[in-house]
Amino acid sequence: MSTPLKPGDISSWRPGEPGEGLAVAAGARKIEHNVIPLDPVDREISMLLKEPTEDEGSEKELNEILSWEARVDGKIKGNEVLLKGEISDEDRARITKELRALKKERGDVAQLEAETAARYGWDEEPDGWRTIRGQAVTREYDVQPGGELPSDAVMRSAPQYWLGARRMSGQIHATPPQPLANEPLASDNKQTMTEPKPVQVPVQDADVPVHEFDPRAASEAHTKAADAQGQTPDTAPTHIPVMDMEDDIQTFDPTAAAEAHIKAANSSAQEKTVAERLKEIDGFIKSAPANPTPEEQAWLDKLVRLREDLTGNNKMPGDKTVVSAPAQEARGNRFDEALRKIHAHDPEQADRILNTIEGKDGAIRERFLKLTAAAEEQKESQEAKVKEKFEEKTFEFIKRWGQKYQKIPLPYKVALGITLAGGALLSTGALSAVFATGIGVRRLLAGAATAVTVEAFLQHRHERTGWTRPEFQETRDRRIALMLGALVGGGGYVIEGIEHASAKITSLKETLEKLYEAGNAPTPTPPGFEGAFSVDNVPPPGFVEAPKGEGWAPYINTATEGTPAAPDLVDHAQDASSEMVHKVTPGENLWNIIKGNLAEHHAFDNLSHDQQVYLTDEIKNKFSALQHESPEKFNALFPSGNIDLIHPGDHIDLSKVMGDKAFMDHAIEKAQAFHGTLSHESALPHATEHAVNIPEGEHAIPYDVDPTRIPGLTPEDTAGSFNITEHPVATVAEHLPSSEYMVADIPLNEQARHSFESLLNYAYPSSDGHIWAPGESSSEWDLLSNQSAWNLIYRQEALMGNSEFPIISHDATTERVRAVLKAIMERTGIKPSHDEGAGRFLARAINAAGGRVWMNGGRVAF
Amino acid sequence: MHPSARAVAVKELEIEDLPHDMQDSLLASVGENIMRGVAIAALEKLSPEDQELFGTIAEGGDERKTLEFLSSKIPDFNAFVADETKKVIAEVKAMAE
Repeated sequence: MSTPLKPGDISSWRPGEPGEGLAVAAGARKIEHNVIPLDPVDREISMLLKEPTEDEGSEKELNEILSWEARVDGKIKGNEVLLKGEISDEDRARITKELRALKKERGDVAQLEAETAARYGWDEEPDGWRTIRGQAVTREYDVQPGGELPSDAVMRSAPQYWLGARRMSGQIHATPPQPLANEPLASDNKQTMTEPKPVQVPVQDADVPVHEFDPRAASEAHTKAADAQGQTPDTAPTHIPVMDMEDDIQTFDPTAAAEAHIKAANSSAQEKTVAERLKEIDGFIKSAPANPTPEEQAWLDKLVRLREDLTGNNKMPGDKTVVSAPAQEARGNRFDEALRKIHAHDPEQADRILNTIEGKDGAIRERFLKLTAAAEEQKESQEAKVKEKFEEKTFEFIKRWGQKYQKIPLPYKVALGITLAGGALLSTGALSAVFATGIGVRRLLAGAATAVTVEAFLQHRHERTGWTRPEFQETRDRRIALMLGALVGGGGYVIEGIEHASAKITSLKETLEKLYEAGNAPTPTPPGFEGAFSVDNVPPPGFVEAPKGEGWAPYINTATEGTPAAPDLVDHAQDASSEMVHKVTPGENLWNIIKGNLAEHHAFDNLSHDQQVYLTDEIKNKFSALQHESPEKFNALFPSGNIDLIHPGDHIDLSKVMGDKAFMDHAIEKAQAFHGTLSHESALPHATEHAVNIPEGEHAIPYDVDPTRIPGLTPEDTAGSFNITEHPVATVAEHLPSSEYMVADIPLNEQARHSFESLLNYAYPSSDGHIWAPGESSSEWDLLSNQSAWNLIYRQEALMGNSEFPIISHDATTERVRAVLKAIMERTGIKPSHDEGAGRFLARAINAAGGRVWMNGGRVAF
Repeated sequence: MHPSARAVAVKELEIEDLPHDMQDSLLASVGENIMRGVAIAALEKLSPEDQELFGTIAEGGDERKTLEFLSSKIPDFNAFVADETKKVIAEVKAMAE
């Protein structure tokens, strides 16, 4: 060819022919006799090479231009700008010098990659294969000329890229070719590249274009693609060779850059429809080996996630909407920036956001990210406004308020958001009170803001676990809402606030109306305030504070002394006694809670140790007796139906028993009359003994502890109870050798094995009462243990299964395993990685806990 | 039947089609911005001296005093909060476009 090429003539160009600069500029590079597409950086390099100038500028300027930030800031706006000459000669000269250096560096890297491949005998392998391997090993392990090459790295990376290479070469092998075919490894497992073989650049068949495996270039291409956003068809270069999707997938790599690689391809003029891309991805997944290696599985997972990105609500198969990579990138950058800022002031929120978007489909995730980024930008704008407009003291006040606000648990932030955002339409009368509560922050948890919203929040917590909330739980939720909103914030506000709320909480209103009407005279309130805080720190109606030393009466329920009062009113009024409503913390049991409360109220002052034990047990037994005497009251107190099973975060209204003055006086009299010998460990059964086999002093916690205390859990995981007992018990018919659940790379000692088996016995209760013994396991567990623990814990949708990628079924066994995993994670602080199997994670966590983990009923004990 | 507060809030933010965990995250974030936005709007209505006094009262933790103070300085404070709330919501939705 003797005439200079135009951009569309690339396919016919050969090295050495005129027009090399333009050809390369249009996106081509030669590898021997082949032309392959390059990433935009290479395009820039070659673009500038076609018109080199002598004036190359200062070193400082070159460095400035070299930085990617400078380029995206507008110094260079992509190839199109260069092609159109929209860049000054001075800038072009500066860039030329630096990019020449970059090109040389890349040439050196390519040589090193070829040397690496040759070193391990890959130069005998099919075309393209060795190139991929050489690049993978060299780049992933940062191999330097003359440097060491860890042999284990080769061993790991070789199969990692095996499938792509195999497909590229068109060859099918039953097993991945092994590295080091020609040369044994050094005894120290290191290879020193001091004597590299002559470089042999892979030669491709000229008729079969091969796409370069290049994660780094792909990543840059992805970023660069954003620059092309906004270009018009008439200004955009045409016929630039692009990576065909099929070929791209054939060389799909397991790195994160691979995703960018695919997206970058879409930025070209040959963008594909969603349906086409889905078809290609599906085809590739179907061709995956039946038993992929862990590395292959990792990038197969990435393909699945890519597929999810493409199957948003507005991108169903058949949809001809073109996915715009530049647009996606631009949005991604905006979110990245917002996330960095969020992480700076609230790392847990950032972590939670990342967990929230994991596994969501593309359209949904995009909308969420846009709003999240907008909210963060709005916050930033507000803070800037405060700094600009107000005095230092006011600025500091807002800043401190924000810091305090961020420490509020998420459920209460949600509740406040609901009240404010939804309240504007429901009822404006209470918003000012809500605002004041939020400004106060410290009382937000129990203020007027929560009564309406918390009940709905709690309801949702249960519903999204797939559980129909039973009546007793609904009652309990209402009581929590009442405690938080009405009895501290004030009944008047709540009545007003729920005036237009859903019918489901009408009973709340009715209860509160009784409470409000029966209460003390309302405190004068400001206009529009409606008594929101009128009962602040005042004992609630139905109670009088009795002096100490006159029997048992920290708060005496006058209703039990004959004062007329509606049953509901008595029930809820009792909730108001903050001293009698105990919030359970980890490690507590009912017996100790009662004992502590008695001591706090000086009930033990004149009792011996044995008498104290006697009194405590009397009260505990009374709680237990409620199960038969007043089942409704018992269920409200103990939603688990078992006084031995209380959960951190539960609120136990001790006044249900200890507020009964007649009973308490009688119990104290009996204790005073007792002159026997008792101890905590004596014959009297205790209400909440520690789990069997738990060493003295160790704590037992229920599996369904409040997960809001776990940093990084998604809000859906704050649902709390997994309600395992609602599901039928799984039938386990097969027993497998213990080796099936022994994790290869996580050795378990005898104690840890016992722990492991304890967990399995809980997760897989046998229908015939069989107790798993050492040496036995379940085939179900064998299946589940290899599934991602991360998916089990975080991805609710994964539990529901997927017709194309059935990962996990939604059954009782899975729920139990999920509950166990969460409890273990909460207790040990060990989190699973995304690709870590449930079995391996459990083994690792158990080891971290010193191998001392037990299951007893619904409890995980340490 | 009147809708629940949550349903109204979710509709107001136009996030009905998002999963609940995403809704929760956004409700929390936007709720904080509403709080800050209303506070800023309220502060703008106050003199520098009153601004400082407001900060002192609010940090004292007495919500009733805080509300009494703002209600005495800003006419129809309930409506004011409602209006500013709507402005913050509208703004964040516009910024997300």
